[in-house]
Amino acid sequence: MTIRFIHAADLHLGSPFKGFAGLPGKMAETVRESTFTAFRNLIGHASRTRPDFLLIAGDVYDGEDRSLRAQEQFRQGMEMLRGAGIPVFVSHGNHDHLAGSWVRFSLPDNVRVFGPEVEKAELTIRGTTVTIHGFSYPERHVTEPVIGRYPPAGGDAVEIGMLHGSIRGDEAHDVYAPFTKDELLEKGYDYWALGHIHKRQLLHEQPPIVYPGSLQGLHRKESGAKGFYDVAIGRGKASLEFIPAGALVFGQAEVECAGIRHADEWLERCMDRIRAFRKANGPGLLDLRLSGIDEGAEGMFNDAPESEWLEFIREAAMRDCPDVGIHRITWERAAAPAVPGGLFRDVLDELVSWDADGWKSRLTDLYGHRQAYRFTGRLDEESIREIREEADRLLTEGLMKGGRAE
Amino acid sequence: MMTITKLVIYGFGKHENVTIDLQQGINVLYGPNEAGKTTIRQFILHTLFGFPQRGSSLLRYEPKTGGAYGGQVHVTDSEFGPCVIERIAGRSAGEVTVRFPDGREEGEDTLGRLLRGYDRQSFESIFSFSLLQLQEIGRMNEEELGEALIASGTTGAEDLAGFKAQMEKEMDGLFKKSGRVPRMNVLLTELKEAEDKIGEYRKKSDAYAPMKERAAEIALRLNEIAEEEAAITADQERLSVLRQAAPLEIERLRAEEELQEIGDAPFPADGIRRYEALKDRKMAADAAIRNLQERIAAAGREMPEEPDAERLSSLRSVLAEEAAWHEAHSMETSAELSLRELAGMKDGLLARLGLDDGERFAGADASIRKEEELHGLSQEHDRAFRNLERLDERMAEKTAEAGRIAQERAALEASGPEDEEIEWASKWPTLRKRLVAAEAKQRGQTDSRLPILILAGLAVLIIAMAIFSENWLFAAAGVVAGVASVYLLLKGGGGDDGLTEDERRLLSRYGGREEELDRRAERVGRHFAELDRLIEDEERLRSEAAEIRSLRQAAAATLDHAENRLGAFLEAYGITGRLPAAIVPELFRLVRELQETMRRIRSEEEKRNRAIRISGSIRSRAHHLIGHAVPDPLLFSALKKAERDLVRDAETRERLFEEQKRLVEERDEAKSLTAALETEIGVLLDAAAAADEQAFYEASGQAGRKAELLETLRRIGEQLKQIGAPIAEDIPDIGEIGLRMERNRRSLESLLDDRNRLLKEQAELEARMSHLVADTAYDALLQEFEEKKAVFRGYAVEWAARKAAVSAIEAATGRLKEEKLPDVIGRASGWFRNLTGGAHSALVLTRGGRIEAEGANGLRFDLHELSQATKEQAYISMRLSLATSLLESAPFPIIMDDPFVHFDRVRLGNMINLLEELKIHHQFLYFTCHKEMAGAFNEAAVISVAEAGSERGVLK
Repeated sequence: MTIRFIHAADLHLGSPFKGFAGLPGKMAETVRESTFTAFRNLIGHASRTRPDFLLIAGDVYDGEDRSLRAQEQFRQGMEMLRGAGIPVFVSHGNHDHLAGSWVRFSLPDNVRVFGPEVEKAELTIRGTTVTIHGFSYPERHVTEPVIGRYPPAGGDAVEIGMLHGSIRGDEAHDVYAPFTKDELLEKGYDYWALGHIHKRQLLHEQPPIVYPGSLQGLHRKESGAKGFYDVAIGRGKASLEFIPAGALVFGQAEVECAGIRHADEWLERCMDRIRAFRKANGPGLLDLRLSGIDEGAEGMFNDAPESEWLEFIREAAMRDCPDVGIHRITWERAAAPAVPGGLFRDVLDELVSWDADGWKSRLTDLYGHRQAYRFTGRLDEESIREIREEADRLLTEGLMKGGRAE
Repeated sequence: MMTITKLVIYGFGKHENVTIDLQQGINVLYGPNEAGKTTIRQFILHTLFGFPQRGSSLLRYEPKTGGAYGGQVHVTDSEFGPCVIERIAGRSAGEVTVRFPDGREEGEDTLGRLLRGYDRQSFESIFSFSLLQLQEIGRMNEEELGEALIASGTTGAEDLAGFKAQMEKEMDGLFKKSGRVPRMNVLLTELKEAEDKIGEYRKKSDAYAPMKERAAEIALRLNEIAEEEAAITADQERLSVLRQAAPLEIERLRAEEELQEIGDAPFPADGIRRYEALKDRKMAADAAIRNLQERIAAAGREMPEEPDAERLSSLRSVLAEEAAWHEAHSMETSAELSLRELAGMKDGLLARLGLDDGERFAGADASIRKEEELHGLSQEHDRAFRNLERLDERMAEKTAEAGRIAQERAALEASGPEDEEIEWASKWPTLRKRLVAAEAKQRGQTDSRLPILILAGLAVLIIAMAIFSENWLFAAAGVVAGVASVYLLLKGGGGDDGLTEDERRLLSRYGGREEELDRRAERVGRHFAELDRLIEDEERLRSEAAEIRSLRQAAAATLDHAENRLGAFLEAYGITGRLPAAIVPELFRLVRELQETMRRIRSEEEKRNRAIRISGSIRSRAHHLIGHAVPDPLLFSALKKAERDLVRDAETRERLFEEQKRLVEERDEAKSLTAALETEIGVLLDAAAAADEQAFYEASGQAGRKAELLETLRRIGEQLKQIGAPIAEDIPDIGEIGLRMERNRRSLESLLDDRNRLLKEQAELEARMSHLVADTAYDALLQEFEEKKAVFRGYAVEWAARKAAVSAIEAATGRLKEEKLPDVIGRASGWFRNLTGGAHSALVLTRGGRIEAEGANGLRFDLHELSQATKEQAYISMRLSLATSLLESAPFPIIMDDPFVHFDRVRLGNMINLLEELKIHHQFLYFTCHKEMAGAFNEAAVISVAEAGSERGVLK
């Protein structure tokens, strides 16, 4: 007997896009609505294809600043599913934990929200019993493992675990309800519906252990198609189909700049890439990486500040592909001019010689500023790298410019 | 170490195809002024670092003569080995090729590495100096030195410092710790504001939960109110029914009571109507009888007398004569008309006949025979009259003629010729004859005939004139002349050939005047002829007049006779006097006409009299029948009226008789109807048990009231049923019902108020709540906040990168200075002491970063306080020390352009010693114009730069 369900996670309804500025009006609107659009796509798909049930593995909302509108939209979505006769199982995650003081909208009776303790829900589908285990975050931080509280599988029922958390030892994300793959497999469940990690990934094939990824990319780094899984489990075998749902796709495009001497040539190459992106992904936000910059191209780019080039390409994109926003341009110099030894080398060497504290102490004017620090972002390894690269670029460009001839 | 081994100049400034070999250690390039020393130094610099940009302050040294530009610098480098650097004309800095012994050819990049990243400026600041440039290090403080050090291997000290300054400036534009204007500070404020706004929105959202609770409460309360309302409304309805039922009940009771009282009330169905109908009919019948009675009487009154039949027939007979009456009348009228006309005619005729009375004509004979007779008489008379007239005319003619002739004779006699003339004339013919004969004799008959012809012509002329002028006397003269001429002609000229005396006298007297004398003679002859003729005519006329007179007497007698006979004839017809002659033919016609007219008058008179007779008879009868006289024109209409009156009376009488009979019949019928109606009324009264009409009506009233009451009862029953009044319930007092209803009404009102208030509140709440759940502003705000954060973060990175760059520059340069500067100064200090022969003990770096010279006595001097030469020695020490300290990173030759000219012998010697010492590590190219310097160095290669203008004059 095959049962079919949808596994989605990390809806982050109403979440703003982080790290974007200067999007044109129409684009900004699309961006603002994108989480809702993605959610509607999910609900629309479910209503059309009538799965047996729907799993949402945490982070329906973005955080405590969830808007009433987001909740209302979610409620309406649930109402639609109720109308379609589709049960929904929700476990809240770190972003929408149970301790929050927000208003709770009463959800229709087809929605089952797991409590703070691991509990199970049972339903029978065409004679097959399906048991779903899950819990909701009682508070913002659940750093202790919870996996131990999940009961092992037993009996004939199809068993599914819902868990919002990260795999132990993954340093890239904050640690929440950590687990290991083996711990999950030991439970003997037929499917693990995970949430929390925004990047789609299959930790295990059979039985599937799945992060469906976020429903809509919310950051430049959350690039590529986003969506959810349409899962069918039958006779101990599961098949998964990824369904894109995002309203916008983040992407990158490389623009080869070798041989370019005039702005219009460059613009045409950029637009080719933008159009190709538009064709492949639909609406989206795009980073352009300019590569193969030779002396001539460099000369051309040096004629105007980088911000002007960005503005230039944005305007062109607005005209041609108004639903593709250009987020930023990075210049990849083919070969940085050889840095000779001596003082200049010393200056550049200086940059790499600082440890994290060295950086912090040097940047404390801003990053330690009582008001500013909240908006600068943390001075973590990545931002230090970003700053260092930028400083390196500034120095190289500033000091090597002009050549030797006098 | 880098050594320049050879210079090959293709063309540079004044030099062309010049080759200079150089060696390790010290090379002295000597030449007088303008030999081209500086040009060679510039050649080296240009070849290594590029030709200057066109238009820059530096000379380009392009050969004035044209030809190749540039050349080669051969170099041996400790790191790169031997190589040839060639720079020739190309782009503005020139085309560079670096050739290695293995055949490799490299470009600018390799040259850059070979030159260790040095540009010309940094090279010159340490390794190449003239006397002038020596002092360009400036005040020679720590900073300058530091920068000079820093300049090594970068694009230049200014670039690094400038770059740093620019970075700092940009940082200031981005963020200041306590600034407001920099972009990030502005953004910070905006971010804070956005945060506040978000906070506000959250607060608004917080109101949602209480609103929701309140909404639930309201819904609950609304339900309660609805229930209460329903209960009260039900009660109200029941009370309302009772209130309606109460008065009905009372009415019902009253009606039943009254019915009891009325009891049984017999009354025939429809009694009143029937009774009244009967009564009406009876009254109508009575009235009809009365009416008929009256009409019968009236007919009797109106009936006229019986009409007189005899009179009627007389009237009709007279009326039958109406045509005759009118005919008589018109006949009379027309006869009168004719008579008047005929009388006129008669008077006209009489007037024409000139008679007063025509009576005599009535019997006159107007036959044709008589007419013929008159005609004959008349003609006869006319003939006589005319004859007489003719004779009178002839008489008058003759008399006139006689008068005329008498006149003529008198005139003739008066104009007759003189007596001697007459006498002469009577002799002339003879004279003439003799004259002619004389002439003829004289001329010989030559022209004897001429005067005769002339006379004949003259005669003709005179006759013609006479005829023309009707002067018969002339005519006579003419004739005479003619006769004479003829006579003469016939006689012929008997010429007078032999003239006598007489003849001669005659000729002298008359000769040549024959013609004139002829005419005189003729005139006289003619006069007498005329006179004779007139006398003759007078004779004739007298006899004719006598004859005519006798004839006239006879004619007058005839006329009288004819007149008398005519008068007698006319007398017979009464015509007296002279009858106009014109009338005579008309007479008989007029007589006949008159006679006819008179006959017609008589006939018309007869006709008129007959008509008058007839109309008179009719009129008298009519007047008798009418009873009085009537004018003729109205007579027959009066007669007709009389007839009509008579006939109408007869008809009226007939009609009235008929009517009277009918009315009597009708009256009898009405009487029997009345009787029947009375019977029926009696029956009705009996049925109602009523004695009389009043009783009957009372009975009817009772019966009606009973029916009404029964109806009322039925209606009440129905109404009660409709209202739905409980049958078996005590109906409470109406007052109490009112009170209870009022109480209920108030409760309902207050409930309604409550409900309206709650509904309003609910609507408001719902609107606010739906606004909250649909409001996208919050999302927009969050997005905006994030965008601002992104911008801020972008700026933060920019700022941090600049900060890092500045820090790195500071750290690197700081370390450089810290590590190398004391070294440099220490060494320079030693050399300076040696150069000055101990006059100055040291160069010292002050705390303020300046370099000062310490005298042997321990006094310190600022560099600019030193003497010119000493100052230069300090600078050279410093430069050489710098070069030494940079030996590893920049092992370049040191090129000097006569920098020692101010040195005294001792210090120059010291200087030379120093260079000798240093030449192990550095190649020196020393340009000088002082010949003694050429020999100043041990083992120095001395190269003489040729005189100005010489070529290939580079000597070894």
